[in-house]
Amino acid sequence: MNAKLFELMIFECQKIINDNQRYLTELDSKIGDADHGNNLNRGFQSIYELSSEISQMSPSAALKKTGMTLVMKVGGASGPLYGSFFMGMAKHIKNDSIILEHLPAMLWGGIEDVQKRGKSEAGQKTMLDTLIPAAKQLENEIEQGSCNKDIIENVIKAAEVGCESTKTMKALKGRASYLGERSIGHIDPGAMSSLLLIKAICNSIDVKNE
Amino acid sequence: MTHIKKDKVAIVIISHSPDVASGAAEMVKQMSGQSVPVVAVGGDFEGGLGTNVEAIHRAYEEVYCDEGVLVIYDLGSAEMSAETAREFLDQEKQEKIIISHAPLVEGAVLAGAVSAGGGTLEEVKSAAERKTDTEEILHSSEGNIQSVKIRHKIGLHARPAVRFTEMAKGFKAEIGIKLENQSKWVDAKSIVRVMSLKARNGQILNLKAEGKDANQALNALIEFVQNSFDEEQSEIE
Repeated sequence: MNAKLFELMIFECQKIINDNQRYLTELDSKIGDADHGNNLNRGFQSIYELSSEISQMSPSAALKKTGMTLVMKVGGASGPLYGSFFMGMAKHIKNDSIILEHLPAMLWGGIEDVQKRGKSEAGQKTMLDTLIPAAKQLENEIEQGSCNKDIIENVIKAAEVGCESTKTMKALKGRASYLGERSIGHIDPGAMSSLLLIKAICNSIDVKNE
Repeated sequence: MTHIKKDKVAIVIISHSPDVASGAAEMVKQMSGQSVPVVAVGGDFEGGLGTNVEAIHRAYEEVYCDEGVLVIYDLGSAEMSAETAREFLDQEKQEKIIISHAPLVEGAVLAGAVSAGGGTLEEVKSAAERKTDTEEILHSSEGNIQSVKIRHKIGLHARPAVRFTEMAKGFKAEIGIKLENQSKWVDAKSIVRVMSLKARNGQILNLKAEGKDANQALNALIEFVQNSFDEEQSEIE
């Protein structure tokens, strides 16, 4: 993992959130408080502004700084949740370097902290419904020894299916849960932003390999 | 920054709305006076509806004291922000900051009352969550009972209730209180119980005490109620 790739990942994440800002807020207006897009955008904009600094850090320090920035700049539940995710990944890094084989353990570490923070689990119409299937898929692909291209493709696919699955779920966590049955029929904005970020990170790896 | 006197349990009120947070804080201050440190945190980074971990963290730092801090919030994501902000503090401080799911306004006011009366962090939390000992005292039909009529425009309201229970706690006797038309006695030393009587102007209170200093206790408490809680009526609009 080098500084250039890290910078590229930050750029891609910032770009995809910025491009989809309205869409995320629109999803959030259906079942939440209509601030997910601009909220998250503020966070990733701040990270982008720090990207030259962050990219010079060790991977664990960079992930921690990313998480901390999200906590401080993103309001509501998204800040603490995404912050926990990145900081949780930082805690599970091995030898302070990111290699493919260790990535699932890092992801599970991040997911575990999101679960703790949100007191939630899969199937409750949250970001976890995207993150968990994506982590599972990544783990499987690595076990099977798939090539990078297949890993990326299949992880994105699993994340997409996971995100889409929130549509038929009844929200059990967060503001959306106040709607009860009426939350059914809408994609969860957190599940969507997680999908977008997974895509952005995968895209930056894709670009590098070409 | 104004100096906040730190010898009482502090209260942090977190709401998505700055107005709700500061309004609730105002209600706490009205009854607890200046003795209880209260900080309101509300709104997102631009002052709109939302929560903001940075601001919550600052609030913790501002009111932190060894007596502890009770945090009361409005909705779920505020709880998450409250927890996250707490993790930025030293372990020692973290243990003295309790996040309560008590109802925002009522919880904060009750917490303020108990803190003003010198309650511990646990007592303040229990009061906010209304988890006080519900056991009725003074089951026996014995004991010295006296009655007194409330002569105060807005009744045995929060501030006098604090002073009333403080006074009651000064006696060893077990003291029960109830409205004349109620059958259950409640503990006159419990602020939550006394406030839950919602005793209004003109209503008659029954007081009952058992123990060595029972008579002294009753005399002092009766006098306090008769004298309109030693408050100037004009103090209250």
